[in-house]
Amino acid sequence: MSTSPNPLLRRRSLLFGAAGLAVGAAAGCTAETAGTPTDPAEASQAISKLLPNYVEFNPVQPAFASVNGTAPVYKTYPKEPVVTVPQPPGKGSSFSLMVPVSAGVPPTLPENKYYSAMNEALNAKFTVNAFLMAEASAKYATLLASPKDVPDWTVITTAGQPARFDEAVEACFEDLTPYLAGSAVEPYRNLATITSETWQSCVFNGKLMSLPYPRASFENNALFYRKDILDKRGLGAPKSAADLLALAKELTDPAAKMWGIDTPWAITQYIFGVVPMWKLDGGKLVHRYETEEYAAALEYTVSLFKAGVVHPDALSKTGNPRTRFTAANSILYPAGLPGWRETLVNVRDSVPGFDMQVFPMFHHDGGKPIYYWMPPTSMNSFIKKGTSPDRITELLGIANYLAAPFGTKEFQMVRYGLPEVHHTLNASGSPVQTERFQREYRGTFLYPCAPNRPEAETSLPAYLDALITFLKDTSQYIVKPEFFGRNISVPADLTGLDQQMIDFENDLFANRKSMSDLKAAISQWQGAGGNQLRDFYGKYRDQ
Amino acid sequence: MTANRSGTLVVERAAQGPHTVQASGAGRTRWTQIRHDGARYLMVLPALALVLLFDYVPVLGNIVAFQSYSPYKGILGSPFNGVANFQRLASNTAFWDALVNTLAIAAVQLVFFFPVPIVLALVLNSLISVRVRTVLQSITYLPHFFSWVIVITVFQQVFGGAGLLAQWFRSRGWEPWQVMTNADTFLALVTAQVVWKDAGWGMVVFLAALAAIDPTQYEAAAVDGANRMRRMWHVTLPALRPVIILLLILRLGHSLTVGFEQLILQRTAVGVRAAEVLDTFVYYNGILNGNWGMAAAAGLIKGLVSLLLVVGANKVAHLFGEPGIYQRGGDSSHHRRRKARRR
Repeated sequence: MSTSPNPLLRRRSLLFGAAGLAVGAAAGCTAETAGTPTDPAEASQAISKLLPNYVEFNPVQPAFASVNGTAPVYKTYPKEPVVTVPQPPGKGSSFSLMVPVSAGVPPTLPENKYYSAMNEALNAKFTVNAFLMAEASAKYATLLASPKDVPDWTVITTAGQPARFDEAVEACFEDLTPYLAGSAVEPYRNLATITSETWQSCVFNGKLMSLPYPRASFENNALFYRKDILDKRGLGAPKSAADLLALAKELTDPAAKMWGIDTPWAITQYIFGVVPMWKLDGGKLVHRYETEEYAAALEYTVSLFKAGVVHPDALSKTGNPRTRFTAANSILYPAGLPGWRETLVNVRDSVPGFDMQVFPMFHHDGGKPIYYWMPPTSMNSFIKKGTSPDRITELLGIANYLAAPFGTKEFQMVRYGLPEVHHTLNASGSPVQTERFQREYRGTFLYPCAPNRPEAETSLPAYLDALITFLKDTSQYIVKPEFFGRNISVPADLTGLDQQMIDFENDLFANRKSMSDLKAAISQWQGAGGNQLRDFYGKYRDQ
Repeated sequence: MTANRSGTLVVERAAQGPHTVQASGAGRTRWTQIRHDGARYLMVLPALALVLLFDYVPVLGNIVAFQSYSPYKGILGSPFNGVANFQRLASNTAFWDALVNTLAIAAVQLVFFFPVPIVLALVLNSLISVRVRTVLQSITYLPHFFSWVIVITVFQQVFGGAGLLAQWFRSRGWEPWQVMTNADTFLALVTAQVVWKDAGWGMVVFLAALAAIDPTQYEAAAVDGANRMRRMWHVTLPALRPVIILLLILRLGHSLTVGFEQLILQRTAVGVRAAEVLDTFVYYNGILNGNWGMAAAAGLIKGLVSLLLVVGANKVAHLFGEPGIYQRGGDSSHHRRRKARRR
């Protein structure tokens, strides 16, 4: 997964919660026309009719159950996984699938044995068009502009949703409400285990339009470190912003090509508790750019750059921070929580002594930290408009296979591929992915539809123990931000506003601007549409 | 093959003159000419159709510059908004910054990049050893085949904050020179990158033109006592002049297309004030932010400025008696000179 400093910021829309969703649902309108007041009770009823019924199903009990929306953690792999889809769900049809991948693009058929194994397991012929997640925004904007050219099944990242996404969804994709709403989901046993909160994020324009790739409440960026290197120097965890600066200074040795921290802005805004987008102050909506926390986080980040403790390539945003971290060019590495497992799996055999650990989250002044609950999906998949009901049903059957939870045969097939080709079993019976799997998989059949997010890399028990400790601590500080879960499409002429502030942040870190320019930058943002944006969101809040 | 203003058809075969056929005649009607050259017209038709289909029909899409355009509603479904997109552009400081940056980069590259392939070609052409010339030629035009991502990565590895140069500075206890993140020297950096990548490739056309110069002209000049510099000045450069002017005009037409990939890859490193150009402005506003109408308006302005540059440069070329990218109507001075030479 990518490590966007603030995933919410890169979105053109936010996900509705029950009430907000209802506004769009009952009005049946696009965001630009969604200002019509609606009776909340009536609207809530309308939304509840859209969501698939939830049927609990846990083949295995977790070692750490979900708290405050965090992912449950499973420490042992079941010896006899449960079969939930006894027969291959497909009818041998051909489908095109477009899916973003975070690392390199996998090989295509016939070289890709994972693809052929999945096609066989699903009894379908998928032509997979995988592309790099970094290109997602531009890719979607151009792809969706030509609805007849969209593939049969398209996975769209929430961060990459293009402007006017509500219009795009209407023009390009099928409404899945008649197939999944209420009890209609029940033939799809695994889809029914996905939580209602997650399904809410699949509703666009008052219709259930997509399938989810669920996200846990805390997948935010955390601060990882090279424990092997810190232990050698006898250095410990920071408990405040001042501690972090001191630690980064201690670790920095440019002559040895070693810097304390990489891409610091990806973590400092969490340390200072910067809100994802809006917060309420005296009944008034205040944007993150206008908050004291934002200014303090910026100032602190500037001090890190000025102290020379940040890897120089972080400024030009070239190269891969993860590569620099594994190569010990930067020792502290802010990244999304899922990046921890991915990095461990990818480099466990190639970097001797590599020990990646995470610091407990801390507030800048040593006080109680605050983290904002992330939107319930990070990707949604859509079925092309005009697809026949038969093919839609076939695709939903396939999605049901992909959504099988941890502890099932189907989960094992999707995430570990074929035995001996894509994974081997270790002494404790846990599957260990092979190098071939890493190359061929890349999440291609995971992202179109997945179960509620589990943490289950049972071949890495030490990692799971550390993760449980981290989640136990962090889960107590998670709160829902304003407009949580509400799916609001911002008018097209206001979508580019963030870019000028992102450009300002970069100028600030590169010393091309100073903190004294912040006030002018905010005024410019407000004048260019920030105030209009506040009014726009204000209408949703009133409703 | 060119048509002059009176409609007579001039077919120019091969390089020059002896086979020139003039199908003009005072008594001939246009229809007679068409019948006479019917086969040639037929041969041109497919190419003409391609040009119309792929070059002129898409131009109609510029209508979105006058609409509040949404690709999901299409041109027919999107409302017209007059010149509102142009007004928004005019009041957008980012657009003016982008325009100024584009013109600055175009001007600097015209002055500092354009002559480099000519000089390289002259130097290589003066080498006697064919092997050395071939090796040098291969080395200089190899970077042309690298993508911009590779070029920027190479520059980053050498000149970046953690690159070879910075580490060399640090090993001597000096503060590293920030080459890749310095907005003040960005113009020099992008020009250096273009020179490294494309100067060798640009030299190929000039080498071909140099090969076409009749060696007897050098011999005659040498007999007349001209030294190497004199021969270059009086024989080589005049022979290259039409090619230089033609390429210069063509480059002017593309001059506002200053390297989208190259700049977007370095935009964050040096900041938007230095690296935003019209193409990146259009990309961010149109593709990423969905303001297709405003982005199309910016693209239209860019196209008009480019057209003016080409037409203007071509006029200047004609004033100096050069053919430019098309012949002037009637019997141009250039033709008169060529006819006189043939006689």
